Amino acid sequence: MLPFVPWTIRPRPAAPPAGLAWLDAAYRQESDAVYRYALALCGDAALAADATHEAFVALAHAPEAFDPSRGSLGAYLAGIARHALLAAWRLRDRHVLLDDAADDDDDQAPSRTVVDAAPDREATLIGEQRLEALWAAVRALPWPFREALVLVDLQERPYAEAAQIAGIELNTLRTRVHRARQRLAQALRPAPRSEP
Amino acid sequence: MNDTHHPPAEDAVPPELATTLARLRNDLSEQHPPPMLWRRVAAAGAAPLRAAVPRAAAARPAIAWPAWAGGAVAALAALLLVWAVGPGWAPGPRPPATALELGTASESASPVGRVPRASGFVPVASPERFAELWQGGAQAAPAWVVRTELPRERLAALGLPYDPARAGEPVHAELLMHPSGDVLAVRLLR
Repeated sequence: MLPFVPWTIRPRPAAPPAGLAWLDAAYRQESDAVYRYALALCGDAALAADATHEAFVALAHAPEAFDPSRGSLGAYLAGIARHALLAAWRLRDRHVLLDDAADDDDDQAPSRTVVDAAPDREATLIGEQRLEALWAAVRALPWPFREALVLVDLQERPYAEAAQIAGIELNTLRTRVHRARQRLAQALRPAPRSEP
Repeated sequence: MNDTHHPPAEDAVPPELATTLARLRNDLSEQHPPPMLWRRVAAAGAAPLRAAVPRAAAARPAIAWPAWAGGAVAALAALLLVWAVGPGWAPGPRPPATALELGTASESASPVGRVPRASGFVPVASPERFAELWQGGAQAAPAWVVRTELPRERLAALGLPYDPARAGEPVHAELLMHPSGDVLAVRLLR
């Protein structure tokens, strides 16, 4: 056994390390939402955790960067997590991200997003719609539509906050939500049976 | 075409999607960040606090409270030694752990310069775990400093900078361990 020094553990309440109480409070309040936002977008728990980590570490290192007059803390953290996700994706080169003009495309245009788990309608969407298939359909949406759907319909954030996180105008967000719903409904619609 | 010029007339969720979205929403609401994440965040958040310590203070051979605790043990050991072998005192029975305590005390009471320069302790246990230990009577239990070597890549998990080119080299560290086996904190030895 290596040398050791016994001592008594100091009385320590259920509190974070000294000086980090504010960070602990912020984490308790916002970490679930930030993590879920990232997870719903990427479908990768490790990547979502990393993005959440990035957001809170950025807050810890530069708390003065958060300006309450510009939006909520949740929106600020989600915005950082968003950047972390995009950076990670660029590094991994797993996805080809759409630019902000993507929602100008016709709804019937093929997606330019390369998604790992593209839904196979025949296998997963006809018949019982399993949860995995639903998520796959969400993640098959192009990034701008997916993000709008996650923020507004899955996280139920106010439109203004969702627009702030996505860094777009309110009307643009509304359009993206609308089109995301259309695309998702179309993706989940059973394929018409061909005549024998 | 700028879609901001064509706001959708209808914000309502299509009926055929309502159930699907509710199902997804419900599934998402059950997801939580992994418990380890707070440890990583706290470790990274503590780094600026440590960096704020003046260099002279940071370069002290040991952090204050273990040194203080070590000093207290040393004083106790010295009293036991005087009591055991001092003039005019009858030698008494040695407490079972005296030898160990003396050995420990002499090491901890030795010139602190023997101890390598070290960083501050980085908390590893979550606040919740600390609370559990505390409520379980841990305030009366000892903790140990265990010297060990960590893979250098673990520095990243602690929110500390590390050089990937030296990822294969171990880094000397001391773990603050609870008798339950929990690692409470870690500090790096330079």
